[in-house]
Amino acid sequence: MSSVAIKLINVTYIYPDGTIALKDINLTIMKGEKVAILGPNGAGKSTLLMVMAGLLKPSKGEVKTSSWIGLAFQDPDDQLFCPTLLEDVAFGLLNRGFPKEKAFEKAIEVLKAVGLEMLKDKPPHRLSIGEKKKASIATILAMEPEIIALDEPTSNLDPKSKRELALLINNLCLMHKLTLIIATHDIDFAQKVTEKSYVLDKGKIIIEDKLSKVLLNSKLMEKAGLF
Amino acid sequence: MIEDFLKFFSETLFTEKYTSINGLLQKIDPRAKITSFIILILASIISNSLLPLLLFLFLIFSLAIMSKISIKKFLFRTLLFTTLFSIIIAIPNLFINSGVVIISFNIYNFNLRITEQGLFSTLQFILRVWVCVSSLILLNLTTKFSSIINTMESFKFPKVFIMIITVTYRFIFLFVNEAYQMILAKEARSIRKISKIENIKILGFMISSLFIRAYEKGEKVYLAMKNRGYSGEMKNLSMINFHFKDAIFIFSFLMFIVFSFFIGGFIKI
Repeated sequence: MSSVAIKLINVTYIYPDGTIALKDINLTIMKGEKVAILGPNGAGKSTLLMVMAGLLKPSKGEVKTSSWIGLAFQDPDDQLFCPTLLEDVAFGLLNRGFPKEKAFEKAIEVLKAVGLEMLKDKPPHRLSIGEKKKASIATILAMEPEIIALDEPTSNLDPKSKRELALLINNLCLMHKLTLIIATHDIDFAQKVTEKSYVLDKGKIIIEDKLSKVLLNSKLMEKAGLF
Repeated sequence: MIEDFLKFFSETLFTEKYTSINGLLQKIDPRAKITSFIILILASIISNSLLPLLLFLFLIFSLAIMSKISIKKFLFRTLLFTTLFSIIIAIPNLFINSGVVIISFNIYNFNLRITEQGLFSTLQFILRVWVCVSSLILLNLTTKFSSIINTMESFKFPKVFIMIITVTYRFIFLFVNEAYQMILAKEARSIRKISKIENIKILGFMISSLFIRAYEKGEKVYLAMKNRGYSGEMKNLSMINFHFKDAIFIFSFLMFIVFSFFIGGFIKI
């Protein structure tokens, strides 16, 4: 039986300006599960991922995780800040105390896995948006996470890049036995990479079920602004 | 006009196409290059005659040719920045120095005289600025930014300073682009001629909006760094190696500087 990867108990998050982004969230994600957090813009998906990853402290409630969560931000420019792609991928490893040579070796290995090895010496601002998305996944993948969380992974991507990204994510999950959480409103993409879903609306989970079942509930999907 | 400036700014300052060409300076260790050019800049500051400065310029332009840099573009860049930095300061210098008068003329009862000493110090100043600016431009054109950062790390620059430069360089592109997009968006909605005062007002809004965006971006980047274990200390990423050819480069550079001073001591201009 698989064990728990993430557990949120009555989590509420209120921003300093008083906006309630999350309201009494209870959810349990098991190890190896592939979960989509669905919801319209402003539903609280990004905040939820940041709370899960421990980057935001919940105003109320408790977050339990089995291991470190690698979070790829919606805008890859937030994730890539080093002068070269290689240094960006090695950044987390060096922070973990890896020796320089080993960190770079590992970074090259990961860049190979995401198909960006040829661009290792490029500055991030010279990459296309699709390459940046893959690169931001590589930056967290290098740290060998058990859980990865991707915030709007398909935003600004063309259909071909979306297909490539879906293929990459599925391969990575298979190879590394990852627990995957994606926050998105791209239903097609969610269908390609996840099995379970939570629908979030105005900071509240309104349904939790298999994605295929949730998609059949057209009334609810319409209510959540996803149809 | 602002959009032209922004385009020009990013194209002129941040071009990296020459850094990967197989030229002389591109093959030299960045530490050797930076050390040599710093010495050259210091030498140009202490030089009292014009000949060493002219020889330094000859060296810089020769190195640019050997590094396969388009001389036309290089000359344009160096002259643009030299003019920009030196002309305002240098021109009055022509008239305020006392000495042997070469030319004298009257403008509205003001008697202006150009002296030999004034001309010399103006030329000296312009040449000095030209040497310094050309050195930095050549260094920038032939060295990847990541190598400059690595060099600063190996020279033990303060880590906070390096971190600030790295992040500034990374995001300056993003904000130049953001500013450009904002200007385009404004242009797309401008259907009548806008007065100068209104334009200044709009510019103010844009700048304030850009500040807020920069602040928000900073917060997000910090969270992304924190997620990958950043605890306030940037790790040294330097992986550059110093070779024998780099030592020869510094030595030859020094020899040329000494030779220039030596010649300058004999031939007075």
